[in-house]
Amino acid sequence: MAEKTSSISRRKFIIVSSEAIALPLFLDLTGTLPEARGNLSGKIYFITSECVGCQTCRLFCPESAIRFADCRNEVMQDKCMHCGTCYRECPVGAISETIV
Amino acid sequence: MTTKVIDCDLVVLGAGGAGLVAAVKTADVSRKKVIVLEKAKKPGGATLFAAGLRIKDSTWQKEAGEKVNDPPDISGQFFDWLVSKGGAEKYFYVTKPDDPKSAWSSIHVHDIMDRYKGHPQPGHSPGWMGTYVIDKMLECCGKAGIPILTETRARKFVIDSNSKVTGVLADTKDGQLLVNCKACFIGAGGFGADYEKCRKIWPTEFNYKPMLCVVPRSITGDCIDMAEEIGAAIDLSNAWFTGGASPCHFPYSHSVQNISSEPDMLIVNLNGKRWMLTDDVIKDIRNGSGVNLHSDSLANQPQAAVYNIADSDTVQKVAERCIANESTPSKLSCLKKWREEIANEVEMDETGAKGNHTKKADTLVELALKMDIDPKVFIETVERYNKICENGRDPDFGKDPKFLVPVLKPPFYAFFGHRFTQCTKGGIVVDYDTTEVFDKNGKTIPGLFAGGDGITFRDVKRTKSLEGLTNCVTTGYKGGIASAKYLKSVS
Repeated sequence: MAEKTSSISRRKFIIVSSEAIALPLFLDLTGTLPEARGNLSGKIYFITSECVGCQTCRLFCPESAIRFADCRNEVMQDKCMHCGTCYRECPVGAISETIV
Repeated sequence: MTTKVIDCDLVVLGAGGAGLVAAVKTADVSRKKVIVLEKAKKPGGATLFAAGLRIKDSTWQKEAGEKVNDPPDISGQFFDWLVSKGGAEKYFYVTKPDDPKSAWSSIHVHDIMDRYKGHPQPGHSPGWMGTYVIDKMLECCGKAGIPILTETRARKFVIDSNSKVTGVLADTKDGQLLVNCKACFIGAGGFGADYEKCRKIWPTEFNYKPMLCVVPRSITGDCIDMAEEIGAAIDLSNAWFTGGASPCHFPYSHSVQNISSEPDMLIVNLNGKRWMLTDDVIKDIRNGSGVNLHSDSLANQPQAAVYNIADSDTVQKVAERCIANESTPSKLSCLKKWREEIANEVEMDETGAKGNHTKKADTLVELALKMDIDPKVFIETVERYNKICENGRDPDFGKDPKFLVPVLKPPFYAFFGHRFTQCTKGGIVVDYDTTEVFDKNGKTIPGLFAGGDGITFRDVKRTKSLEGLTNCVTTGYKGGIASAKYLKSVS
């Protein structure tokens, strides 16, 4: 993964920067999922097949980013704030934490 | 590969209800050094999801004004011990025994534990009696200094020439671990998460059609195999599994699950037809205990799944009945949200979310198309069923007239349901009083004890008292006392 070049969020970056500076950096940023989404923890969370469907993660998720789909819970990546609450709360350890 | 060696008096395999109770009880009685090995990332296992505990003859019940026997039953002893660990009073409530003559009371945590308040599905979540026991035991482990090594998977028993267990070899994240011990307690549970093992015993139910597994994936019965390797007797002839098939058991919000499990629904298979239900099911429906489809009957249907059909009147009537029958506050507040929960699911379904969410339609044809069923067949089924309801007698499948409710008033609803499995029960043959493990010749293996789901009692038949959480904690409790006694005798 590309190194962290900037902690500026993508939207702010595009507004405040001139196009000439923005272009090379923007290309760099698009490759990094966490930067583009304002992910400062640098971690992404997925619910693995170990999920037993108890919905405890749904209870604790501060962003309501977990929904019930296909008999299993699912993290909606576009809503996820990467806080890791679900990872800590899952009673069976079914949520995977990947450092990107 | 590096092998780390540690020494202890008792090694406990599995940090579930049975294992933790045994560990804490042993340390309580004997002050011996105990170590717990757990394969999963977190302790708790299947016990976390257990709801109620059935007990008999506890001092606690006596103080609550119930008639109890003396000396107390082992479950009562366990419960008194649990209460003595403190902080329990505000939590428990007793449900009356099903049979007034029986002395068994169910103890539940009064309402879902504070931590889990607001859970979308409070009926099938952590936060009840099982979680309470685990939390309490973890607290006690902390106080007694009992280490719980997670992500440590026991692989093999080390035995000496007299087939006495002297250690356990385990795999950890970064190598091997050899735990030298004087005694071992197996509390590793059943094998509900191992499909092939289940299939060997129950081929009719485990027939490769969809079956949701709702126990933690670590419940694969490894220790049963390990014990068999060193000559322990294994008896799976009377093994059983809990679960079976209940429409909408897990994948739904609480109210939707409760409503759709009521017997008023018209149940059709994925071809849109009713089918012959087994006697068990008919009995269940007659008893009014809800549709708990036995998997035998469902296993032969396409995809082993069902749709529960109801019109809007029935849904309303059933929802009101569920609300009237519910006494637990957190479940009640969920049930009261039934309108929005159904609406929410319908919306998810219509926006194309994965999974079979509740379907709603203004006409039966539309509903059939949403369910992917031939409308002609479906309408035929519904018309026939409505006619049966009108006559008040079901010559086709013998459904109780009380629950013959026609499907008439739009909008119509279809609730999807499929099978699920939970725990299995049966495995290593142990003594009822001491939980000592027997070998194939009927002799006990010195220093080896077992409890929880992965055991079969020698000479004791299945009874209500030996099920679920009660079995789990009482065997752990008995195992703890017996292993402490054993450790005292060998040291």
